[in-house]
Amino acid sequence: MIELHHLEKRFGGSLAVQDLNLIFPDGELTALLGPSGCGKTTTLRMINRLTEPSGGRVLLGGQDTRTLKPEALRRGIGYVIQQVGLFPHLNVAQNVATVPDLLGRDRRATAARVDELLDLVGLDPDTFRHKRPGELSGGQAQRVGVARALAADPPVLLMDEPFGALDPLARDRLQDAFRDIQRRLRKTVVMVTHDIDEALRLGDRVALMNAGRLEQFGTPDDLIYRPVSDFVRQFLGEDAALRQLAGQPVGRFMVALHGPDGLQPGRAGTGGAASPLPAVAVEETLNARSALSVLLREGTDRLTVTRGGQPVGTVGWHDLRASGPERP
Amino acid sequence: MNAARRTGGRLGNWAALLWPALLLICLIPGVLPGLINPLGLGNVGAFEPPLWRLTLTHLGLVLLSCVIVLGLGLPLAVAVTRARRDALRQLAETLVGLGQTVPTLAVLALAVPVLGFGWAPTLLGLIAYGLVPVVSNAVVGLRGVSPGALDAARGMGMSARQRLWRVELPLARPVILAGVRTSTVYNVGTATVGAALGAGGLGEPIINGLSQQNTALVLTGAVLAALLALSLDALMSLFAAPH
Repeated sequence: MIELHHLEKRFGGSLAVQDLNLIFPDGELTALLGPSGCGKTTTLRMINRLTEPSGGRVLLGGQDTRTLKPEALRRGIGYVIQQVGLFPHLNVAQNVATVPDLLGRDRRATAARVDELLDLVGLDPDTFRHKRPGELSGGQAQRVGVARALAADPPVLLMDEPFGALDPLARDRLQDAFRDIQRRLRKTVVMVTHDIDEALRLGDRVALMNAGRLEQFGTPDDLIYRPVSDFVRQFLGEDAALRQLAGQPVGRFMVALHGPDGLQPGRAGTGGAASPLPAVAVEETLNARSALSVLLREGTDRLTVTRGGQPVGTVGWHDLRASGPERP
Repeated sequence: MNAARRTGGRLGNWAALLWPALLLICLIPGVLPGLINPLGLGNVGAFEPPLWRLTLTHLGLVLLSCVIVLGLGLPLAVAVTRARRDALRQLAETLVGLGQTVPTLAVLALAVPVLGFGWAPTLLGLIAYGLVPVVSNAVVGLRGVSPGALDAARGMGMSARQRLWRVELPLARPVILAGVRTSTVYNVGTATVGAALGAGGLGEPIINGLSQQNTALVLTGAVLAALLALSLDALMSLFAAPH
């Protein structure tokens, strides 16, 4: 758990961050979102003391970070940046092994760990171990960047616009890959981003900042359906709900055919004969926003959801809205 | 692709040995006079001390100055490229630059009253002259290290010393070595002036040739100095090649 208490950063006469109080819960990904210059990167860099706070405290697992040596503190925290920052004179394996080497870990154990991590981020160790950063695509390089940050198995991961420099296709793929990794590892992640879609898609929680202050802290649903200020509403935009739907598969919203609510609404008790399914079908992996678009296009109220061509459920307007206010 | 690069590299390695081989051939007693005398520019006889001794003396002067230049220049460049030392860096670059703007002959002439004749004033001149490319290249190389790599290094918990040894110096290495190479090649030429101060080396036949109006003697010293410069340049290119 990372706690910020009355955190403040002054550059010359201006306050980049003021009176910031935040708790990043264990095992969750918190997106630090906001327009450029809102202090989100400064906040991130104060957590591992790349920037020293002018006031306030940062507690990491209950311990004040000022009581630790900065180098020791940083070795215990994973760090990923937008420019990737791989060392061009070292190969992929040596890059990933940086922090274990600094910690003086056993060489052979580290080599095994490097292979394991390359596998985890979706790079074949035999192919990539000996490549130099110059031989990698942007997406591959950032996968190595993530592997390097995880090398010493830190409980906390700081990410500064990690996918910001990638083309949209590579970004999508890497976001998916990272979501899977995070689901497995359950690190405490703080991710700076100015990309609303990314924050809504990856964040368990979102901290929206504006002009050095915290504007709202909550789940993506909180920000979309219960914005606390006009700034929050405006920043997320009128299509915020659609953005959120875009990040989720329609399968998450469907009513299963054979579940407790398995019967077709309004057609209960037709004596075992299969009730007719909606004529239009979509795959369960389709994103929910596209499913909504299909509803509009077909002028219908319900869609059949299929898995590998077999119907597994149905989805309608109300189910898609359920991501919103009614959900706990 | 890898195989092609490797054979290409090997061919380059052999080419780098061409100049040292030519130099060694010219140092066999009788070879160089045999080549130069037919030109009818004058007469070259046997040398006392022999040409190989002069070449070794010359090489010694150049290598010693090179080592001292590196020992002074590299720490200086590292010191002035640390954070928030821009003013110091500019001052150092100006002072070091003076060494190259003041003519070497003047440096030598001014040094003689203090240091006497021989190797000492010659070395001083060579160091003053050779420091510029080493310091300026090292400064450029160290400042050119990608900010992303440096930020990542800091963020992963490297101390300032670890960043210097593990990231900055390895990344700046090619630029630094290019500076050392330039400095060394310059100084092979500059060191011929040292003969006027009694430091010996390949300047001796040149100065003797000038005073005796014997162009063949001048040519002998010039050819050997040029071959020595080309040899050092070629050998250092082997080290500077990206690994």
